Amino acid sequence: MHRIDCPWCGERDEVEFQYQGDATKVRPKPDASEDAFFDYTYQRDNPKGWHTEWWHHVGGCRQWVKVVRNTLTHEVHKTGGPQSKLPLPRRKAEGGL
Amino acid sequence: MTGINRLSMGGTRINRSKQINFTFDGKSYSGFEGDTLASALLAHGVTLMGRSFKYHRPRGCLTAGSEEPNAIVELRIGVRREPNTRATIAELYDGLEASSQNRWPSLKFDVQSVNQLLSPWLTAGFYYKTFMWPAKFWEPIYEKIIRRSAGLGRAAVEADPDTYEHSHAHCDVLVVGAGPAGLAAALSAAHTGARVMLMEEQAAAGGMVSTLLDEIDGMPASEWVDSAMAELAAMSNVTIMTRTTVFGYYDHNVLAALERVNDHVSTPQENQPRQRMWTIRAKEVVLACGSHERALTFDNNDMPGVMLSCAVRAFVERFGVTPGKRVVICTNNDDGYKTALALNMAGVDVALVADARIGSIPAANEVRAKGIRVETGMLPQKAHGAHTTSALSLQRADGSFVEKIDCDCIAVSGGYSPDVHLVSQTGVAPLWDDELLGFVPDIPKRRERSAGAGKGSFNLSACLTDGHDAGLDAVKAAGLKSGKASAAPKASRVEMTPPLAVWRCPGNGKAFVDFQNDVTAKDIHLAHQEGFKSVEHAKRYTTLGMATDQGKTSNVTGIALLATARGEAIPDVGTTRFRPPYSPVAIGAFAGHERGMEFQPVRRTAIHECGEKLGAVFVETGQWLRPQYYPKPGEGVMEAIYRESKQVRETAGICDVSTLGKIEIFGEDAGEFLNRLYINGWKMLAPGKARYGLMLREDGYVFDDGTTSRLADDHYFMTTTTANAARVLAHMEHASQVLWPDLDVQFCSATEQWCGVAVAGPNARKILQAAFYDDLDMSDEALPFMGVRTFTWGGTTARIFRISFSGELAFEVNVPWSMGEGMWNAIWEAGQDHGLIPYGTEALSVLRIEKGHVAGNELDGRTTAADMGLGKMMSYKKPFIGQKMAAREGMVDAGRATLVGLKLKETEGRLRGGAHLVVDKDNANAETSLGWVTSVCYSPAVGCWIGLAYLKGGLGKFEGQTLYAVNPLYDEAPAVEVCSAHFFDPKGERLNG
Amino acid sequence: MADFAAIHPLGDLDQLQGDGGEGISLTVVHGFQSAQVFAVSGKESALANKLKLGTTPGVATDSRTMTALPVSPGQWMVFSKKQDGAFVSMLAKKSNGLGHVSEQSDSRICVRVSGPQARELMSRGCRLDLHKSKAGKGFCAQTPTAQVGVLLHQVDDAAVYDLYVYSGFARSFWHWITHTAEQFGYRVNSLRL
Ligand SMILES: [Zn+2]
Repeated sequence: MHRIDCPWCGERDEVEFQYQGDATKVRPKPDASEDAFFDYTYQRDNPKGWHTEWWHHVGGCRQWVKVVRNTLTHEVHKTGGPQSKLPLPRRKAEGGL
Repeated sequence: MTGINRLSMGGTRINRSKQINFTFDGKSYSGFEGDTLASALLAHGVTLMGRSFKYHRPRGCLTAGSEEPNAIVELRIGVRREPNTRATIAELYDGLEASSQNRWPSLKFDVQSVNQLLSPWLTAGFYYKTFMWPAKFWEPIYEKIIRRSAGLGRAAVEADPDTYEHSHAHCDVLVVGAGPAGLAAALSAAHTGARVMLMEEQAAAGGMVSTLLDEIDGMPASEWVDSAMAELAAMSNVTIMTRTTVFGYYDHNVLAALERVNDHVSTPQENQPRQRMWTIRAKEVVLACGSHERALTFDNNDMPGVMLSCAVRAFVERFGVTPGKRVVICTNNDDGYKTALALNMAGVDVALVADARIGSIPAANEVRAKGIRVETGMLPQKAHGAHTTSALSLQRADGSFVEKIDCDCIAVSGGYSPDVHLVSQTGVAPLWDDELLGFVPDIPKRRERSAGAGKGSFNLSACLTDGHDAGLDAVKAAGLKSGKASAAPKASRVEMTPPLAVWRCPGNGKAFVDFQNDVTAKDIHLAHQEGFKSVEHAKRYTTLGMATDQGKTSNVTGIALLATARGEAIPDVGTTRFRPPYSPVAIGAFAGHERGMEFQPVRRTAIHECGEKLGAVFVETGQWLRPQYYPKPGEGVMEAIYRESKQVRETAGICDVSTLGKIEIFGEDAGEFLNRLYINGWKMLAPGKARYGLMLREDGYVFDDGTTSRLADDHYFMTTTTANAARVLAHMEHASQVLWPDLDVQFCSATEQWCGVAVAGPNARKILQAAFYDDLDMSDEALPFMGVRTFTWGGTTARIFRISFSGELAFEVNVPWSMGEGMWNAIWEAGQDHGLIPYGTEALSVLRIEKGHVAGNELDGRTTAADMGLGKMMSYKKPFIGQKMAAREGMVDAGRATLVGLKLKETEGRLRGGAHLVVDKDNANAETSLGWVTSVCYSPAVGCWIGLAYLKGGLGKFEGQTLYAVNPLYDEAPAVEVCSAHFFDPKGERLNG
Repeated sequence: MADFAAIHPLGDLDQLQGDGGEGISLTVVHGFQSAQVFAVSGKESALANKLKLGTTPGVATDSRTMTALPVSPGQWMVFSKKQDGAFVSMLAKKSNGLGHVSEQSDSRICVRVSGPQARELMSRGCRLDLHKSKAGKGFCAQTPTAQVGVLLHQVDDAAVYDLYVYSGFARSFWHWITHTAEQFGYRVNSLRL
């Protein structure tokens, strides 16, 4: 079970959150092309390793929490608020992966 | 003395002053408080405790702990019957009723043991081979044979009468196992002030210490264990839990444990759960899980009376029971000598210690000095006996027979395997240690460290130092101050001789590796011959290690034999990965409280009881309970729905609409925010007015609909469908926090602040005016269609909305929750002169279908606004979520299925939701389907069955035509006429009353 | 004439009974007013100063008249200390220009859990660490307890917790907490503010 450090509430159990997918996607401006919206809506990478994701803290403060997480080891590197900029770490995950 | 094999002295865990009576297979016995079922049976000389899984061979207990593969019994009778319980950990209580499994008609005479004659069939892969035979024989023949001949226990048929619960814990250091290493770790960590939890699977601490032989800190080991436990118990920063098995090690250092609160009594104490499942969030973990002794693999090594060396010692030391009167010990390591000394001290005859090793063995000298015969370079060849051991043949390593020796117990030791289950669960692949002949933990991936025998420290002094250091290391790793560390407990260091690898003692008979799944050395060889060379494949093909004991005593031997067959070294073969749970966990424990009434929480509205009083039948809508219909005495469902929906249009009805999602929206940019959420425009909506709104998902499909009102310039009040309330709130939070944080908009749910009712029908105004007579002007001028007003009623704020789902003159009134019942009663009383009736969700649905209004059935996530006939609502003057994708080619295709009405053309039968529409009912298939029926009802207003449907080509192509609504589930295909979805009052004249 | 009596989501509070045990005390606290208060964007600290609302997550602010629990950035749940029909409008007036106020007086019930085994009872459903080294007087959090969302406020350094539960879930939650409290023995009271 994951423990996720909500920037507002502190570390909480995974069950308090709703996974909301890829947080690297930025919604295009309203006048952007259909292709840009198609990409935003449907196109997703499925990275093995570090990834930035949304975990909505529905059971707590109801903030959309940005989480840098390793999809292979489940290690959480950093969390931040909805507008935070969280670069991916250069290091390997714990356990050498 | 209770039983012929009960020793006159000793037994650290039993209380000889308290006798306990129990039965096994209907026969009465007695034991002492503190006994396990196995120790109490052994005390009476009962060695036969079960039959094996496949071959139904007689079996006794192999171990004295939870790793027991053989002595699997059923406990209790009736509803509390529990199969697959290990006799070695089942604590005796007065009145315990236990019975053996896998035998018919009796344990002594089991007809299925003819399976032994059929054993060529039942070798490795017998499941797979069986199921490859002709399919038509599977169910009627093979499955029955397999089910009867192989299986483990019977579950109770009735519902479990006991309760289970969950509990949550947090600590700095979790210590798993209260053997010497675990106790030392708990002590050193606790002395620093860290919050320590110590969990021990057994009822008592001490693990594998020998109470007769070992000394710690200058006192007998058992005394040291007691004092350590007492010291820990007295510390406020320590929580000790015995009878608690840590069975799962999950991500982020979360562990799960099962506390057996009341398994050692016949019936749980009143109000106490039987078991409690713990979720532990540990900063750091010390794994002091100990090790499992392995058996030696020789012919008939599963004979009752053959027992692990440490188990023999445990029965003597803990329970004052000897498993036999004359014992032969076969060993490949020093453990056999320890057992010989313990038996000798307890006055039990040790006929021989046969050591597979040769050369100088210091431990042997001490045993010889006691006058016990020791032979080196000697291996067991074959156990003899009928249902229990009577003799053992011995051989040299080359297979040459040496002698046959009479005995009733054979204590065997094939070396020790560190218990790496929990480490393995964390994804660490254990490392092979060629000197210890066992897998040891590799570098941790989680915040854990192993200590003691669990990491391969088999020497007591090393265990204690190890544990002590691990406790301090954990405290340090947790970032806590270690302060002044206490001294490590000490034991004298014993010189040990490394074990000798003996994986198969020469022989051609049945030599078992996995006792529980009846896997023999030959099976493993066969699996290899048939091509199952990977350890994971061989495991599944032979079922080695796949039974409830998870192969605790058998895995290493199995892997070693596979390595031999492959001609490779053990590390090259590797080991299988262990997965949770460590030992079996009852499903009831996983469920905890979450069953029956507490399966999931129920939401009730403020006026639930008002509906109840009027005889409402309730329906679950998500977690909410809503009145579905209000049957009168003698009335059926259909009649009640018909009456309710007819009456609303004739006089008036009242309906509980509290479950609609309600969201209060504030802020300067609230109007702009709504503009971006909904497809239609909101900035021009005047305060005091409501508007119907439709939201899309980003992919352009319809998400939700509802009415939103403007209560003040910067204050809106949104309603959502009951089903989507939570999703809409999350969608809005995404929009405001992630997409447009620059907008000044704030909102929160107010669903439970308000109780809402809809009052609909020609008499609605009259009734409400009477109910709120001097508080509210209900005139058309003061409250026009889509008008909203806030008024004070009964001292509180109330809101009234003139909106209509039914097409009638209708209002929705909201008052604070606590006033809901008062409001209902006021309206109800006022309505008595005006034909007011209550109506439920079914009549509500009839009324909206008659008006062609979409609801959940039509909002199925695959439909566009245009599909619903609401395409014109889409504003082109402003951007909104879903706009771009809704304009894509496929979304605006003219051939899309769009909303139409249907009337049943036949006088018999009915329409059903889910039916597919076709032109030719004799050629109905996926290709010829033109669409599907979403909602149906019998319409009092139209006078027949009607429905809503999505139809390719829609009204434009099919209006007035006849199609067939095919429903293969019911074998029906009634004729329907396609018509406008606005069945009733298409011009909307009735909205004015 | 109609019946205007306010009805509690748990029904007639006088009918609620314990089992006479002493381990747990459950007190239904009622009669308070409450509201969710939001700061206008950029006015978070101005509003906090004006209404004397603390801004540290997980820490309640207590005054003579009210308790404020920060629930999210720029958002508070505010509870009156006594019955006060003008409480919410007072908040709205004071926040004018700086914030918005949504009345929530009826949206939640309050169950106060106390007694020698209160912390143990909480561990049966609450996933937070309520150890005295981690949570003292004024600790607050939103977290699911059993399966129901709870706004938790520790009102004393001893283990005394006010649990605010949505009215719709009131009976389900009551069923769970009384069932769980049976192992400790429990008493039931109600307290009208
Ligand atoms: Zn949070």
